[in-house]
Amino acid sequence: MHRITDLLPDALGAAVMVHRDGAWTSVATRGYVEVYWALGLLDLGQRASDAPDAGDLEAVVERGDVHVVIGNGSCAVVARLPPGSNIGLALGCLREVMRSIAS
Amino acid sequence: MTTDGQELAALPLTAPGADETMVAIGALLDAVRAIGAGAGLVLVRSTEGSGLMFVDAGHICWAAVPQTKRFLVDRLAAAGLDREALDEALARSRTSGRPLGAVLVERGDVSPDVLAQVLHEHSLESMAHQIATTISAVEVLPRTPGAFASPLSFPAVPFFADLAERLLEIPRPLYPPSAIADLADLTAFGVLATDDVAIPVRMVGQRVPSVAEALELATTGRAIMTHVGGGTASFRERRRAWSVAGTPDFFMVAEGTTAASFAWMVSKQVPALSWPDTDVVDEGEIA
Repeated sequence: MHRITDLLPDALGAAVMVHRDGAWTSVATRGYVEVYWALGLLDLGQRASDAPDAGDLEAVVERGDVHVVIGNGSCAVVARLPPGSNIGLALGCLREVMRSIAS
Repeated sequence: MTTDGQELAALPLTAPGADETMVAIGALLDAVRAIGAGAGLVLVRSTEGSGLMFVDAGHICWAAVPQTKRFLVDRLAAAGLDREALDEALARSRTSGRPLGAVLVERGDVSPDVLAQVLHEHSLESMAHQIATTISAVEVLPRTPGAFASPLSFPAVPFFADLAERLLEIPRPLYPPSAIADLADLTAFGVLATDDVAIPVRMVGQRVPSVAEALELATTGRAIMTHVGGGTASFRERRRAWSVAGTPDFFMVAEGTTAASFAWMVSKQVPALSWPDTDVVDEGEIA
């Protein structure tokens, strides 16, 4: 979460989640973020995938504010950003967080 | 779905409004998807009689509805062909068993391009007429692959998108073809959706999808737009990227295979839409 705070100081909300014992658990949060909505989005995206469980799925949603979500079957990271944010930077930051969780 | 003469869809016997028209087009798309890479006749029953659509390898080869009262020769005459030449070609076609169009092209009476335009218009108008008369059932009669193969056939998805354009009020696309002119790998089209059906309506991308691909993208897009409420949602997994932009009842879908495609999806703006209010809930303490 510190990494997200450092790199995305304007983030309106962020959460890091892991899948344990058949359920999602948030291990770090900041501000307001729709966690279940983000997990639902990943689930819909994975259903549309050619190769489910093949790796990380990335999603960027703009609907006024911006949600950037990265996840796989075992962990997920979501950040809510103001309109006009640097999405490339946000994706890079969340990828790094995913790598740190995996390592 | 593809057994001989199997009925694919029984449709409401009501006057066709926009929803019924979409359901009817959806049933025709399902029929073409069921035929897949093979060939088949799609029998379209209505209260005024039955129409036929000849399908081969995902292409519409020909569609005809007897009650349109406008025959191919009439269209060819309207396109400038001499009636006497038409009568001669028609007689040769009947004696040889070869298609009239093939005989006309062989004789030099018509160019393949003009013939293709006439065939397309005839097929389109026939199906539009049939849908407007209230379809009661759609059936598929499988045939040997290649049975209707023709160089003058039409990819099914653009054909049905044109059909929808003729019968329904379609919103303008959220981005024009010029916006993606550099992305040759991109499949992109509009989708008109209700709770019951999602149909491709306006082609934008250079790549033409199969009916199965288009319906899958449309259905996925509807689920995502329903979840998001409205806006733009772009996804990437390894080399594949896909995107949905719009509202739950009309949205654009795009699918590509390059980093450039994903970058374009993420960067595109659709400011003409008014987004729904975002309910932001503190769900930080999930367990």
